[in-house]
Amino acid sequence: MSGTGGRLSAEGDAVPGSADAAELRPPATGWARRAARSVLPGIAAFAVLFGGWEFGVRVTHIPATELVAPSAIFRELWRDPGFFASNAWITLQEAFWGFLVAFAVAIGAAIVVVHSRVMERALTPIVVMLQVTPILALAPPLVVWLGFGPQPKIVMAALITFVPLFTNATVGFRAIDPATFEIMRSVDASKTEIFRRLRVPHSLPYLLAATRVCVGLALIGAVVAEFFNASAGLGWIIEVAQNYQEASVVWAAIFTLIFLGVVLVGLVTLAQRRLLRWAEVDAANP
Amino acid sequence: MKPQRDSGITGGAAPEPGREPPSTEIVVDHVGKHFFHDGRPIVALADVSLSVAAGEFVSVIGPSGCGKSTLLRVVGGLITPDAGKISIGGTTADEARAAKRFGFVPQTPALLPWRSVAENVTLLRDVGRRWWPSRRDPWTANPDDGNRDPMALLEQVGLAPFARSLPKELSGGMQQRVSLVRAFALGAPILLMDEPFAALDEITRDAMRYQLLEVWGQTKTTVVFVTHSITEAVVLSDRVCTMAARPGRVASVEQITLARPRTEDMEDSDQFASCAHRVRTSLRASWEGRRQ
Repeated sequence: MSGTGGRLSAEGDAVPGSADAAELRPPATGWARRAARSVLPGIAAFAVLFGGWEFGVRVTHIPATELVAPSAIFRELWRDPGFFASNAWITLQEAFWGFLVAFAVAIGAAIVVVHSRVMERALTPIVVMLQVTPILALAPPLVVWLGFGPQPKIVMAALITFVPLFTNATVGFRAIDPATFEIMRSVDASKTEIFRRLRVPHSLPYLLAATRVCVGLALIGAVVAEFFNASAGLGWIIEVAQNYQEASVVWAAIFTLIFLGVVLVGLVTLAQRRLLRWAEVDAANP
Repeated sequence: MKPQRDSGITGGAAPEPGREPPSTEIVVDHVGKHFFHDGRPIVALADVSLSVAAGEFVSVIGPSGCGKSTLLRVVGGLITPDAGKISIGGTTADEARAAKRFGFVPQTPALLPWRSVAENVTLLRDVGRRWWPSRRDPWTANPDDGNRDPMALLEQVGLAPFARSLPKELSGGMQQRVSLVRAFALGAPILLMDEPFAALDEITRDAMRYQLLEVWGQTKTTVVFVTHSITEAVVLSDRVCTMAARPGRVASVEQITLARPRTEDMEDSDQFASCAHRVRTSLRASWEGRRQ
């Protein structure tokens, strides 16, 4: 029923009225063991990846200008963490504001489209146009129009995240159960009330799923815009370091971006767990 | 065939004087409604007339596509008829809807999955309130209105222990009971039920019928109950309105003379059999009529 799919409840919530629930529950263990079990495979996979990378670079003697060993990248990060952190903060702010602008506009447009056929027909071509436009190619003209400040980066991040947010908001607002809708109408609930009580909660799984995707997209938008005449940000570091053939700095910036993305996706996942408990499919009552 | 016009208060459950104002009477007056399907008009209701007395339990039964669900929605103001008039105690269906005089029970439980059972039960009373309802204590959120105590109703149908559960944690039958309680808790004088038990297994259905009768017996609300099941119609109703399809019309209105309160034993009685027989004969006649 939701975008989160059929994830089993890992906490093993008690399911009243269901005799099978106790058997389907995972065996009770301490939180440390459970945490270890959920995190360890990921850590192991990372270790294998970086270990193999490091090993490959050392064995083949690939020059550092072509492929940098992970150890060199981490050394670069360690040498001046403040430098990467402050530039990451700039990129993060651009991505965040871009996402926020796109979110507000997408929600507003979705509200209009859900309630008006005419507006839907008017706006759909524009959305499709945005969808097929290679947004990244807009970076150079955006810099020309908006200058060297944060504006072109924010607009870029907003443009690239708008379509997924709008599409999911529209689908989510429409995902209401017809019978529930009828019940609300049977007591003469107003459009705003139906929106508030039915459409908003129903759209949450869709909006959070879209947000998850857009975290990465917003960062991409901001970084690509920073490639062009920026004076700060991770994209700027990559661009400048590339010109000076400082491959380890380029990679250190990329790693910082990855770290940023992972943390943000983790936060969205946390929000999904918190807010969408009702949408999770139980083992006992699929 | 000329549709039968049935009017006036008829036996069975005559309301206690003064308890139920006679204004809750439903009058369906020569109502017509057609829809378009693939560009061709389909007559869902053709000149349908029916009246329901206050406190009366009327079932509407008929084959698929006879317009019984449409009739229910026309009564409830969810569908506007093309012809004819609806009067709910002297007001229009829309006015009655705005005054929260309908408790609607659809075929699916239609519970809000993010609200607990307790919060679902109070949903309809919360609608139209200015502020968000108190999440902490939905019972005492508005003690001033004359609605029925939802907790007592949940208790009565055996769902009190699940008040804080989410709908997904309940079985289908339990969810449908929550849906019933939600309608009763609204305290509406008229209940409109659209095959509420159709999705349940036969054993659960059987139990639910008597549970419904028990709760209804304490309220004596007016009920219009759409069903596919002859047994169900006879067990529950004061009168059974049989409908025929294409065009959707009233075939007959059968009086169910069984005493109240109804019990499981009555289902084996001759009187029950003869009532069921009359309903079945009427349905068959309209079915035969369609083949010619």
